[in-house]
Amino acid sequence: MSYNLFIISLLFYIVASIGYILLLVKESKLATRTVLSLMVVGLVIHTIGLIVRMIEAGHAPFANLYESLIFFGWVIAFEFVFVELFRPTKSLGIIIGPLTALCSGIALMLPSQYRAAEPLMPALQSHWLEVHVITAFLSYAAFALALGTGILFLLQEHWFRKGKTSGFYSRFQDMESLDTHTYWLIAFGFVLLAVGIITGAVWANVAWGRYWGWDPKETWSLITWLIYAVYLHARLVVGWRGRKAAWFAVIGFIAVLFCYVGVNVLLPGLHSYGAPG
Amino acid sequence: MEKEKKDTQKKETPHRSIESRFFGFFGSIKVTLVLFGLVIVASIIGTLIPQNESAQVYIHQYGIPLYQLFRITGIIDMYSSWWFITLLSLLGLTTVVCTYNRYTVLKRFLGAPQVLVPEHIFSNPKNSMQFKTKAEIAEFTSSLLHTLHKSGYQARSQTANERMYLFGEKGLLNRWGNLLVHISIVLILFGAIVGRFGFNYTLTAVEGETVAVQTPSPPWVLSMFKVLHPLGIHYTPKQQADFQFHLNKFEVETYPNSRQPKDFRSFITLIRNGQPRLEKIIRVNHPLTYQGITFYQNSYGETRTVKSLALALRDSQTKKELGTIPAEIGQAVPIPGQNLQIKVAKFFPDFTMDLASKQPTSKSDELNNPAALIEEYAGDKLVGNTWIFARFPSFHAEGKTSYTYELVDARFKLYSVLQVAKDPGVPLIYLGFTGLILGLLFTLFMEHRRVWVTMSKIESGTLVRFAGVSNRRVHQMVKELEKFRQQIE
Repeated sequence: MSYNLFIISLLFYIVASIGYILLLVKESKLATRTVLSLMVVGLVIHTIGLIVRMIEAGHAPFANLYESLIFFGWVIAFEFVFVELFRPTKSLGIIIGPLTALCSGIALMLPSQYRAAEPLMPALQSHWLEVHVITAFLSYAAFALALGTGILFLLQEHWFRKGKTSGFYSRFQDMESLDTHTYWLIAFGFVLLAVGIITGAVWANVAWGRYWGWDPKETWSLITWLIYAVYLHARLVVGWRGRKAAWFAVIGFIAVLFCYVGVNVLLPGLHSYGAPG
Repeated sequence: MEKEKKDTQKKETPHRSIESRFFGFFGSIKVTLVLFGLVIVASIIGTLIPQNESAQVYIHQYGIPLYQLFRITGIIDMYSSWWFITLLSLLGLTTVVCTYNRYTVLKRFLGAPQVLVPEHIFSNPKNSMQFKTKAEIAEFTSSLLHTLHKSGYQARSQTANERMYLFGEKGLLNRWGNLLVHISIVLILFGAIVGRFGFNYTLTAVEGETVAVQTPSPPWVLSMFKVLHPLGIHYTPKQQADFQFHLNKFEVETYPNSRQPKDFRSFITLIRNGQPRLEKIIRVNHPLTYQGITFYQNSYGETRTVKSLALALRDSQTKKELGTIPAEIGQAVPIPGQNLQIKVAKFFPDFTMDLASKQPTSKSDELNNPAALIEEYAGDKLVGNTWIFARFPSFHAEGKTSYTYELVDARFKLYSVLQVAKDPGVPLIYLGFTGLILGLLFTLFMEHRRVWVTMSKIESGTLVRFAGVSNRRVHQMVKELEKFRQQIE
């Protein structure tokens, strides 16, 4: 049942993505609002799907790879809609729409044994699970959005240097605004990631008696945090802006990807998703 | 540690230059960023090369020469290696120096407010403006103060040289936050060091067993105290707790229709001076702390010792099946609905007759030939007994019994694996965590803004000059000043 809802929301994300690409051809306030509404509808259906999945599985929807990918797509869409409502951008949708669709798409294409709802093992039966995972995913999504604004900035900057500024090239958000968006998204993600790491440490201490064990997941989340710490120091203390900052948004997200998926899938350990049981 | 280094350097050399070079180097953002980079790269290496594995694992994956290299360079246990700890300590050192610098900056802002400022403050076109207004100085000043207060600024004014000066400030919390972030990181690193004085080990207890609780001090602490022996001080911290740990029972609960564990728990009693002091159930995510020592449920396992049997009962005369009841070895179990009790008096997993002593015994621990002597009791009186053999269910030996028994299943004694730990650094770590989050919120989401105004009387009214700075959204300051001007006029 939740599976079908996820498919429907995916369709909305795909249509919205196409819409965002078409908006590059012709700008229109009405069209922009329509496309955003498509994302919102997709998000609402996605939310209902998550609630249904929670009821089906009997626990929060992020206990295996399938659930966590679906949840990740949801958080990205949620933060994107939030950003578009308060600090709208002209073109972030062309990256975030497909990214959201990609997360849901990959999840839904997983073989059925990956999608089976499994009951929680004793170590995961704690309210720390929700706090820790939700804050971590909120931060990942913020960094994903920052990746989007960073890529758009680099594109804009590249075209600007080549003198391409009119017509198609003007349908993108301006560079300075993208730079500011990237900063705020990273700042937001940075604090949330700190909370995610900290709640993980406190939970680990309650469950296992040690708050830090340098296991690959813990270490990679710290690596990601340090990379963005370098970004913040470079920006706030040295005054880095623009291109260097945008590249950091890209590099940082590669670390986020490795932290989120790479560790679980490629490296063994406490956080391993690995193959289904 | 780092503070001592700073102090000794101060005492050793009266030179200002070495101290300022020290502060200059470790307070430099470039050095900090390089250290960040080194810690990042080193940490990545530690996740790609397996940590704390046996030699065979490394040799199999990397070959002998690389394994030797890893061993010598400490990559095998990288995060405890001297060079990684040094990198972290250097990062900690830059944080300490940075904390001191942040404090100095904050002190400067908390000091005397800069109401009277030199002219050049108002001369940068990027963050200042000037205009004429028909209003008189006093009138304009009061409107301005009102506007500033509404926008959250604290303002002070002063007259000098026939001019009115005004200074408005808001968001000083940003500076406090910055200081708090860096102090918190130092606190966390310090807490990690303090934690090394505690202990952390795995304790295994079999059902029914009582174990001593060790409280081992780290080797260097013991060495430290050994050093004091020649001075006649023979103190060693207690290496064992004054209470014992008894595992009454261990339970595993599986999900319905599944072998997946839903919960597993230890029923324990803590004993001190021969008296039970505390009875508790320890489960994953629900540790027990007693006398500063915490017990965490890790995992469990099965021993090779049988704990209880499942017996299928059938009435000897009516041949009616009564069902299956569990019976712990050596314990009397009532038969439901009857005035009879049964007891598994003896159990042999691998039954054989010892030819010399002519006594039944067990050849091994393997369940090759499970046999049990079942006794029936009415009250305290033994009314019947029989031997039963799992592999020969239709064979009955010795006396008559009211029921026939069949041995259908055996349960092994379980053992509980717990983690026993004491970490004196945890309170500092948690304090650091709290400070870090608060500090980040203040420093990243608040801005320290300062506004200066000077007014002088001219023919048609007042000449007003604005200037403003912010340590975050710099370009917005002019807009803010423009907003003030519009609000007043």
